Amino acid sequence: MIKLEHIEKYFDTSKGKVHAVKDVSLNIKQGEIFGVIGFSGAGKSTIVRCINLLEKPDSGKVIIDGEDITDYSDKELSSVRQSIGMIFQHFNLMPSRTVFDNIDMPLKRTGMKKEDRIKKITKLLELVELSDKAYVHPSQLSGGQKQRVAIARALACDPKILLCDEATSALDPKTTASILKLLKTLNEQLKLTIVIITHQMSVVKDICHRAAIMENGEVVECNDVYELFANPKTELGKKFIETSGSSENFLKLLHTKGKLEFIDENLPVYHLTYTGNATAIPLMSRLYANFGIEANILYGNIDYIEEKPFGQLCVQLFGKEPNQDIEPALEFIRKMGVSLERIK
Amino acid sequence: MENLVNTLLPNFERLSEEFYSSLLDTLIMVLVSGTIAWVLGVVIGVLLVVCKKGGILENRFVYIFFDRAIDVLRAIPFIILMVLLIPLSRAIVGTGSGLTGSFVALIFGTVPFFSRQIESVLSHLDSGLIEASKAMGLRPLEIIFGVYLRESIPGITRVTMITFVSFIGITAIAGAIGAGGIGDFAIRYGYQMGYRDMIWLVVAVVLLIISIVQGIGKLIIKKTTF
Ligand SMILES: Nc1ncnc2c1ncn2[C@@H]1O[C@H](COP(=O)(O)OP(=O)(O)O)[C@@H](O)[C@H]1O
Ligand SMILES: [Mg+2]
Repeated sequence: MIKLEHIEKYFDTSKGKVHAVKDVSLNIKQGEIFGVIGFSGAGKSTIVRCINLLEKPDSGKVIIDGEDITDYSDKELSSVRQSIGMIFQHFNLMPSRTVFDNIDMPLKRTGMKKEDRIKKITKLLELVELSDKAYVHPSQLSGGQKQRVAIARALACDPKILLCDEATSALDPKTTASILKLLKTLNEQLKLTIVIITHQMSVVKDICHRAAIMENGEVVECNDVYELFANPKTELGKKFIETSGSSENFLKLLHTKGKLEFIDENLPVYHLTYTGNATAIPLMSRLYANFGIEANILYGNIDYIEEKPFGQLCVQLFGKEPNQDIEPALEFIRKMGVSLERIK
Repeated sequence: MENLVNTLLPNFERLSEEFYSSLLDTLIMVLVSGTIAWVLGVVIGVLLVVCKKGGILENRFVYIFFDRAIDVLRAIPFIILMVLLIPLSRAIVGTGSGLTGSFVALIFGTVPFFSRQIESVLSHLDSGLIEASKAMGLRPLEIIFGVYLRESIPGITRVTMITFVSFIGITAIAGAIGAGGIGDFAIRYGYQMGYRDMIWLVVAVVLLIISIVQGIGKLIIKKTTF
């Protein structure tokens, strides 16, 4: 559906050349929600802007639906862009136009008849649940409503692809959730391929099927979201996963404070990540039954990503006997398919 | 009423015909050269913005040409510019003096200032709007008319009002090359003949014209700001 091949992009700035995108190749499939996550300045916006060629790559290819559009003329690009909707962090609605006229902007130029356009816009407004706001100006809408209008406008020409550049970053958590839900619905009902740029792992966790992690212009990791959470391969990946759950709070406490009253200083702390069939509680009771090892649970959480459980646990393990060797127990945990890491 | 006019403006009755014809000349100058200057100013302002580096029709040559031309023209005081442009005016409208001869000078005297103001208004438009328009597949002309100009109506109106005041100022100076108008009238009767009442009349009329224009401008801004 969307294929980026070895994209390179440089910017000339007053401080010299910036290598914004370094040899990025992505293959985004028809009908999936694909996330691109990274910290600010990682090159996410640049890469997504290469998809509709708002940014022309210095080298590499952009292939949409099997067609190489990298060297299309401006006129050809104009029609390609009609089939690729885009929404932005700051909505970018035309302030002088009503909601209706904003959505009409891309439609008007297609030569569609006025009655048909009215019908279409009415339908789009129903889809984004803003039927009562058709003749209101954007300045009178809340952030979430503005983003809904922007989505309606992006969908006006029945695109197959929707690009979202930090589309929820200016919204509060509740509004973010409702926009993400809408995007998910669009993905399922219209079979829309969606590319989501974000710096929030929670967005990826909530709706993406696959995601790429970017750092300094490079894709450092790209995988199914579940795999990304279950087996992060890079430090950055781990960092993002930490930020997505509440284990972050515990880990911060552990690393910054150094000494915590509720922790026995002499014992190591283990971080367990378990996925799929491995479940925690029976594991803990088996440790006791088989090895006589007890666990002090410091942090625990089970998340569901793409409807599959994903658990995180921080524990201290100690034996019934003083100075008991816990190594066999650790071996047992690993054998159960739970990844284990000593963090203190 | 007649008495009041006679008491306040003792010279009016005698000069009224000449006053009206001066006023008409000023209005013609304002309408003809003002309209042409406005259109040219907008066009050049748009060219500056779209041809600038990173603009939607980036063109180094066009940008540098207009950018430099504006700087040069703005550096020349209007009264000198007028004299300088006499040959050009002859070539374009056939004469370098009189009402017709003033058009070229007035346009050259206004357009550089006005284009800069338009450039400033358009480049302050949220770049996200241009980005969104490009993403929708809009072509450059559609972006210029539908976004740059349309979304900047309040700003364009504001700078039009500012420019209008200085434009009235230079139509008065244009009187010096025989363009006529109320500036010329004020110099002839108010300055050379010393009729204070005629100066006051001209001042009142100028203030009236400017207030009407500003009133209309404010209304447009109010109706187009959301
Ligand atoms: N138009 C531009 N001109 C110069 N530098 C740019 C431009 N756009 C992006 N950059 C630079 O490219 C890098 C990547 O930017 P961007 O793609 O916006 O990152 P992100 O969206 O991940 O925050 C940054 O260092 C940024 O400063
Ligand atoms: Mg960005």
